[in-house]
Amino acid sequence: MKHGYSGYVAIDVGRVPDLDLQYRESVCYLKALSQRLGFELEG
Amino acid sequence: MKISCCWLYAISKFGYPPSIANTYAAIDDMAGLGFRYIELEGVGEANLRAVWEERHGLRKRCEDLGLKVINFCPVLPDLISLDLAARQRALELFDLAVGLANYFGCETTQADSYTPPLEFLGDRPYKEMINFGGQFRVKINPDFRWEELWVNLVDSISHCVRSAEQAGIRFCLEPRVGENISNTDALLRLMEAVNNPNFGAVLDTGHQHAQKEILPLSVEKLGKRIFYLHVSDNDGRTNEHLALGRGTVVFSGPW
Repeated sequence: MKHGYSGYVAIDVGRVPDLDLQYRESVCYLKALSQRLGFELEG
Repeated sequence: MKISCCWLYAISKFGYPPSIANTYAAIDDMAGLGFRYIELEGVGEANLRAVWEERHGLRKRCEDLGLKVINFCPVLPDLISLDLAARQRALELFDLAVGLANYFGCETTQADSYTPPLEFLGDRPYKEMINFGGQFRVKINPDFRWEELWVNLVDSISHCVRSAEQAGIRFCLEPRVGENISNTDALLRLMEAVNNPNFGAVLDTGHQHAQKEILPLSVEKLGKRIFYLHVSDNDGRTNEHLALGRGTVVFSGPW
């Protein structure tokens, strides 16, 4: 945020046995992080 | 910021590269997971041309599902080939990829810096797809000259940056473990040599954490040259790409 980044944050998880679960987990993690740190997150 | 889905999802699920039929399946599955923004790749000439031939159908599928392709990444290792004809062909294919990025309305196009032309004794990095945690042994050919490779790399990436710029697309490069540009400072050196503000970084938390970088310092070094973020987690020892929270990356740092 200090440098004003407002682009895309791409979840880059792979080669795991529970792929879809780990993508869902990562989306939840990012949303929780955005609330905690106070940055806007879309998608 | 906006959440997007990397193409690593598709190649982990359907192989490297996915067939065109499985490219559609991957897009469907990405939409099913709730993503609105996704990446797309063209791996080598055959797959890149196949994606080009299928571009109308792929874009329509994305539109029907409410998806937007925001980054297109051609995978063309010959971009750094010391064989001039092979490198020229890869540069022409990169221009085709820029055409695809433009067709899909991407904001960025991406390249890697690829594996150095050394003789790998045993496994070679990224021979097929990412093989996390591999250990590599190499033999250096007496004729190998890093300076020659560096000049090639600067020349090719300069071409890629200009090609993207002419299409109104930003170009970014991802430092990766085991490649010619594997860390933040190497990328900064390349940016300085290319000297074009249309050239930015993909900050990949998985690769750079495994590379033992201090991620918040990487952010400070790159600043506004960060064009794109790839996020995954690992233990800092192998470059696994796990779900966020399953490793030791401190995600409050990168932003």
